[in-house]
This record gives sequence, structure tokens and C-alpha cells, in this order.
Amino acid sequence: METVKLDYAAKGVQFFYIYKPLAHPELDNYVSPFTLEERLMHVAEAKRRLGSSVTWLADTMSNDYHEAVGRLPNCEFVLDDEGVVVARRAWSNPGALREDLAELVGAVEPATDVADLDLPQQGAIATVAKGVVPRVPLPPGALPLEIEPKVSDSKVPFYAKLRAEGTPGVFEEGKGTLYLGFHLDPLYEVHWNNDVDPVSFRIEAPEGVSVTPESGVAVDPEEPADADPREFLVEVDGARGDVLDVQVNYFACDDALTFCIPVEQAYEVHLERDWNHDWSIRTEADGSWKIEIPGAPSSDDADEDGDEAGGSDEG
Amino acid sequence: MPAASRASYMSAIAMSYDRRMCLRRTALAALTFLGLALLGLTSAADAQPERKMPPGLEPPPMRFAKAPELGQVFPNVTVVDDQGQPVNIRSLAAEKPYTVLTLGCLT
Repeated sequence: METVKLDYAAKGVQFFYIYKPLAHPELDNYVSPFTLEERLMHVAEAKRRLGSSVTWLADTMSNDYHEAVGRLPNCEFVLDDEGVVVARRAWSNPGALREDLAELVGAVEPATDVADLDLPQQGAIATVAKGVVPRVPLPPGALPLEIEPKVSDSKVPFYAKLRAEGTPGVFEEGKGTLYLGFHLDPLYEVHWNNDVDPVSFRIEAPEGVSVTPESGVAVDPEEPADADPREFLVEVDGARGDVLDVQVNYFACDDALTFCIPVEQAYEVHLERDWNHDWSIRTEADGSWKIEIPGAPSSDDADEDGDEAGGSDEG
Repeated sequence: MPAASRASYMSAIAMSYDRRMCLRRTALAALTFLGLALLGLTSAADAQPERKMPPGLEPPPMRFAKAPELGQVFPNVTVVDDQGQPVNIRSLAAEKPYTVLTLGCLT
């Protein structure tokens, strides 16, 4: 995209990235922002890591743009000055975009090559010791559920963020296994203080809904500090759409060691699929990750997406 | 799409970001699409029998069917700039002959 922008900005084309809900929570340990301010922190992080000159915008926290384009993670549209869609594709493709723009405003020769650019390469944020607390496996088929953080008057950030996922039975019928993971947000550069009380949670369920267990305490490692998620599995027997109240208590300390505070925060967990987030991708302590699509069978077949401009077919 | 075209598609995507990030996203995009393609729901030309979709997942073609189409005026959506100020997409598009909008995130 950077090369296309460099070549076509002078021809009356403007370029924007639009930041959306995380497609795959936990990849590189990033967790979904809860507020617009936090989403803009993600934008700043994206600028840092990518070093692109393309202007960033961000979707609202109601994800209006994401919904309007069908919730695709990396789609691309070209609009004319009347807002009419003149090209579109499900997956961003700089080569195809260049062809679209060549048709619209004329080709740029020679085209700028990415090797001509000096894009900085920045890694993910480093955190304190990871790999200290064993991970809890996600239950089969688990996918993100709708959650609503309860922002208090104290305005203490959600240093640890809840990620709730449920097996298909949970988001289809309200019955099954619920994953509750409290993940430290790397953008706040904080860690768990293991010299004080460990992370604990409590669930209040509506009448007629059973939750087992209703509360829990995380492991208390020997290490004085770490940044591993604190994870729990809970069995729920209710109905689709039921809402659980989850409260968590923890101590958050910043990596610069300027504060260490007790935090109590609350969430509503809806037994409903959160369609704005796809499956999570677990990042291991060594930074490695692998894709495991919940419920997908193994096969050696493959297909590819296409793009659409003018009269082309789009897949 | 033939393997050669697929390879060039991957290469093109790989050029859009810094190399480490782009290779990760390229692999991620490819494997994501591969995973969903296994279900026989990503290509009208796929001759394999349709398989059951894992619950809670929407294949890209189903999602893209809901997106604005060629020739259609883009929805009247407002996003924000990096300072949190509202930006209306249609108003933004009116500022230049053409506007490219690419959706993305850190993961």
C-alpha cells in the first residue's frame, strides 16, 4: 500500500487505513480495546509497528464501519468523489489496487518498489516474564462472546482485560463451557504482582442459570512478577442471551515500577456470539503462534479470494 | 485461482507492510482463508460437496455479500481520526477524485 500511495497521491488519490476490532485476539498478546481511547492507542501502536505514511482512521466502538462492510477483516474499497464504490475486494491487495488506479487515473511508471522504501520494522511490546503460568487450553470450538466492561467513576483503566469465549453450545443455547481469560493489556506495560493476593473472580448469574464454579482464584506462582494470562473454565447452564456479571480482583503494577495498585473491575458477559471478533490466536511465550480454526476439519484443498473492479467477478 | 496467481497475490500482500508483519499477516490471511475454504464455501467453482460450517463462523463470501457493491454509494458511516474527531466517509470521499479505504488491525 505504501508504494501505491507514494505513486498515486499526486494523481488525486487519497489513502486511509481504518482500524477495526481485532480479528484474532491475543495474537502478539494484543487484547481488544474497551474504549475509543484504547482503540486510538492501538492506532498509535499500529503506526509504530508499521511506520506507514498512510493516514489512520478508526472505527467507532459500535463498529459501524466494520458492520457496513460485512465484517471482513481486511477489505478494501475505492470510492469516487461522490462516494460511489468503483472498486472493492475482500482482501487488500496492493498489486490489484495499483491496477484499479491505473485504470482510473492512469498508470505510474516506473512503479515504486517496496525495496525503495525504508520502512522501520518494530517488534511487539516486550513484557515481563511470560511462560511462568501454564496456559489453560481453549475448549473445542470456542469463539468470542459479547462482553461489556463496566467503566467505573474512578476511570482506572482495564489493565487486565477479560476475554470470554464459549463453546458452540454457549452461544447457540446458553449451555456449555465458558473460557474466562484475564489478559494484561501490553499497551499499558503492566504486570501481575505475585507477592500479593492472586487474581480472583466471582460470577453472579441470573435466576435459573447455573454456573460452576461461581468463583475462583488463579495460581500463585513463585516468580515475583509475570504477565501470563490468568484463565479459568466455567460450566454454564442457562439460555442464549443470558447475562452473567463477572467481577475480578487483581493487583496491577507498571513495568516502570511507579505504581502497584489493587483493582476491582466488573463485566457483563452475554451468552451471545461476538461477531466482530473472529477466533483468538494464542501466542506462546517464545512469540510463536499457530492458527487453529475452531471446528474446521483438516484438508489439503485450497482456494483463493478475488477482487472486483469495473466488471470483474469478486469471490 | 491457479497456484502461480495465488503466489503472486501473496507476494503482493507481502509488499504492503514491513516484512515481518506482512509475512505474518500473509500467512495468517492465507491460512485463515484456507481453513474456511476447506468447508467448500469460498468458491462457486468448488466441485466438492458442501460441508457443514463450524458454528459461529461466517465464510468471507457470506460476509462480502453484505458489503457495498460496485456502483453503490458507500453507506453514510462516520469513523474517527487519530485524535478521536468524527470523520464522515462520504464527506471524506468528496475531498479528492478517489479515496482508498483499507480495513485492518494489529491482529
